[in-house]
Amino acid sequence: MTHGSSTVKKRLVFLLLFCFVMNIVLMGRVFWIQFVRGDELRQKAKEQWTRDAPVEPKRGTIYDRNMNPLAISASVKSVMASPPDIKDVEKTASLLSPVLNIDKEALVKTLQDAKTKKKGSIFIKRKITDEEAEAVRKLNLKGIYFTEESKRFYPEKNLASHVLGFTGIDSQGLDGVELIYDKYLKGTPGRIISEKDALSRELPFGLEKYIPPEEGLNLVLTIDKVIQYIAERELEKAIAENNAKRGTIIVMDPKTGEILAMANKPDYDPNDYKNYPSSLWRNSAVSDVYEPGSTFKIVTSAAGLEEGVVRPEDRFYDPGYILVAGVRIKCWRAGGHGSQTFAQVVQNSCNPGFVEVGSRLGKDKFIKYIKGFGFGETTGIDLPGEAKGIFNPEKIGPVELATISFGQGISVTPIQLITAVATVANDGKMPAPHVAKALVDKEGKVIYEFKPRVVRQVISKETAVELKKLLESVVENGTGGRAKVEGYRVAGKTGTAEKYADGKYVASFVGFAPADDPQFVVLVIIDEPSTGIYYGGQIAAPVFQKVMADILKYKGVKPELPSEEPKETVKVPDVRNLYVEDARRILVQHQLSARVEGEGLIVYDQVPAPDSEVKSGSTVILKVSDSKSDKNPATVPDLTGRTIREASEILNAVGLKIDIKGSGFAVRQNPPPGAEVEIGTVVQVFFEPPQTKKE
Amino acid sequence: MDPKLLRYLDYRLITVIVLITILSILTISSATHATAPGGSFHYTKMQIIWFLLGLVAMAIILMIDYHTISMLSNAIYIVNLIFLVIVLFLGRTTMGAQRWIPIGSFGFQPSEFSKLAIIITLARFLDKKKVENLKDLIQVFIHVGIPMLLIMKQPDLGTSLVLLAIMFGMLFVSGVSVKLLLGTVAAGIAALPVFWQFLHDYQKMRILIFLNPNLDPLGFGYHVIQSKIAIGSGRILGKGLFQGTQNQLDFIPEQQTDFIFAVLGEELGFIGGMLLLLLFFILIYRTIQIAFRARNALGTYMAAGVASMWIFQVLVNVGMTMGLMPVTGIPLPFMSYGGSSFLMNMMAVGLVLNIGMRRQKILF
Repeated sequence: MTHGSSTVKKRLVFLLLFCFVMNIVLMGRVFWIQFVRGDELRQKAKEQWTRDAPVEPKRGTIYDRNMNPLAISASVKSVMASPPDIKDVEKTASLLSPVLNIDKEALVKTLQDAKTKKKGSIFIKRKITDEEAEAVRKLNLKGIYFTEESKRFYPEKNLASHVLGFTGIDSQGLDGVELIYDKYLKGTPGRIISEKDALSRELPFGLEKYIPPEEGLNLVLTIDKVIQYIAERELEKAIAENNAKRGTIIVMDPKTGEILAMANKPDYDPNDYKNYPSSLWRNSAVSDVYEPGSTFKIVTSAAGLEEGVVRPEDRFYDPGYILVAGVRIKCWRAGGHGSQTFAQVVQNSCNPGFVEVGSRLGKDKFIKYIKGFGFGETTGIDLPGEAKGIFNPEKIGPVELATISFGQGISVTPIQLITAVATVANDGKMPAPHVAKALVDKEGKVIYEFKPRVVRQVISKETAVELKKLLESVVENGTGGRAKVEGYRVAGKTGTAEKYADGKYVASFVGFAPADDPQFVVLVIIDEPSTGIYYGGQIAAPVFQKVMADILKYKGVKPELPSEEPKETVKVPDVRNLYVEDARRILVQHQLSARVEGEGLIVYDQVPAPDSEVKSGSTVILKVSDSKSDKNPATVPDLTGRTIREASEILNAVGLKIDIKGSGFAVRQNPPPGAEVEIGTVVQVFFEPPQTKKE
Repeated sequence: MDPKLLRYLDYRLITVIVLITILSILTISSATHATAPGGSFHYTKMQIIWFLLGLVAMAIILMIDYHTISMLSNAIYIVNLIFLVIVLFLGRTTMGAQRWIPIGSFGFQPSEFSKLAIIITLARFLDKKKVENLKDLIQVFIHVGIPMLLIMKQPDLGTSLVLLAIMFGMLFVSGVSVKLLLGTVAAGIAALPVFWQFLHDYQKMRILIFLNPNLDPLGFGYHVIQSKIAIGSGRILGKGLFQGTQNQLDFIPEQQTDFIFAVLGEELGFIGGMLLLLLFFILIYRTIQIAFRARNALGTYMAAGVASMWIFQVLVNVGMTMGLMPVTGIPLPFMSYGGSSFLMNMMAVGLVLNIGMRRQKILF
């Protein structure tokens, strides 16, 4: 049999060997490509991915809590070029550059570069106006085309700009919730993969693929557009009236921690953010710190009541100052408040009283509550750039302990302070402040809900209820009188902090209503008022009153108290030759309000005149002046209780001279108060040191 | 057919075919984006149908004694030529070549079946007449040359090269003097410049690109570069079935047919590539073993022809996807999508099993 020949068998074995060797060669080649050249080829595979053209997804809309749009994306045109299709680069560039207002030389260079690098497509100018697009369309240039991109619009312009933030040219979030929730808002880009684009030439098997972009989720905020508008309107007015540097208002729901409004003025228009100085982009409500002043006494009171070191009916005596470790700390009121209960200490915002509470608490316990209320730590609000405030427990000595008791020597952010007050309003449970309510998809289905969260129980409910009553009395009977909203029970606390720079103040008011079941906490901060009035009770409380009154009306909260009886008439007191703040305080005590005209420290005249009968609640115009009064003859003012400096300022203001006798506080004077004398007369004033040097 | 014969059926070979086919169906599903949104399982379903039809065709070939088939040699040869002529006139043109005769919605590709026709008829030729000199050799050349030229005319350089490989493989195994064979190969190479003139531009281009793929990286070199990128990015375990970026984004050219190995390499990685090459080796090893043990020369030649065909196609196709061979449009047996190719290969399996099964003299 021929097939049995050894030649045939040998050759079959040879064929098998050949097959074997070839197989080894192929396997070796697979190994070579996948391991030796694997990294390089993997990289090349990736490059092909990036060569395709991305398709921008539609960015999600931002709504307020009632689904009013605050930030929307609309599609706009961008001009693109396909360099291989452009025959005459010079001509194309010279036609395009005037229409799009771009440099011709730069455009020529860009196009030439792209042509040599065989780029499939490049941007000429992004997000152009409709007019520009129309002009380019009319040119009808080969290789020039449009692509749709999305542009962010903020229909309410400046409204809530610090909460919203803004986006950059690639629709990336750069500030505010646009930044914090960028990953949800931005969606997933799609891409167009086409060989012509990627390789700039047609291939035998033209491949093109479109992967559609995935739209971003819509964000619903806790902000209420109407409340935000109220806050911004009143803040703007207050800043203008008081000629202040800036201001902040925050409105929070204490039960949930939801921020209903957050306004800082001055602000910016996010549609055009580039044309505002970047300092205006700053969200002072979370990023800036200030000394809270007397509003911080809420924390001192809460700690004192919770620890049982003070009761509302405890009696305090305020001689006008208190000595702490040899340092004399004055009460804001010259001469002090005398004998008073703790409730009155709170109503009068009496510094020595709070220093006493702070010292009874002691450093460790007081620090525990300051930390407990969240100071020295961020609140974790969902906005960028939150500051921690300045509170360093290690650097607290007796003097610092004393000053912190009334809100000096500690720096806090507005959001920290309102959260602390919301904690009191919410029966001691600290709410986590937040501005995002939910993420919804384009059909409106809720994808994720940001649920209210309690951070911790800081004080007991009993303490909170007690403190709420005290704070209500501040508005009813104390320094916060001008925050009163008729028909409602309002609680709150004034604050005035002196800045380290001379003569600059921060006036604030924080409060909530209705006092027995708080629904809204409002913080008003007016920074550096410059009309001579700077007390929180005078400047910030009326703003609070207007904001709160409008919110209660808007939200349909029913008044709890019967409206007050018809106003009675009162006698206008004589406030001439007094410090403006004292004059104002006296008028408030007489149920009158004051308006200041002119600049200066001392009142030289008033309208209506002293002893006139007016309706309670009327306004008395106080004329102030720095320059010497030209009123002749001058009335000698009452200088009793004044320091040497105060007495000389007052006399100077009315055009009289001083002759200082002794030191300390004024006890007697010659001529006596009320005497009419020629301008330039020398008044002898006798000073004596305080007689009771307690403690 | 005597049922006893089934005792000698090579079930291991059948197992290997089934395994390769499973790999094929999975890879084709991925290559045609069957699982992608908007994708269709059309190609997947068709390949399964071809496999089932192939099993039937294999069984039919298995039942007819290969001696009987051999006796039909002249008829097979002539029918083959007729089809090749018909395709030149009636053929459907796809991508610049007339290779298909439309039957319903399918295309029947006579050149695929030519391979099997040449194996059967050349085995009979060699069995009848021992090739000892140039004159005999020329007779063989004419026998193979006629269908080969018709196929080249389509133009289908790949398949005509497969015929050439089958011819040399069978001549080699039949014991033709190596000197004589090498002499003709040398003469053939000497004639290459002449042959070059007859090549189409795109064919010339492909050979030049093979010699230097970077000559035109965006045009014809694109195939090989993309294929290498796909395989190279697969690494050990691959990116996973249906996960290959180069495949899913259609960066791999002709990914369900000629470049299916690139899809496999990208998605199943080194492991997948090794597995497939190992299966092919077992397939060819079993085929050569059957040639070795065949009852007579006719069986040996036929099996050797089939083995030569598969060796050449695997080497050239897999080599092509990795830049070892020029791009010639040769399908990977059992793996590439295509009914004619799949059916022909299954019939070839039937023929090999037929020979293996009948190796023993049947004792009555």
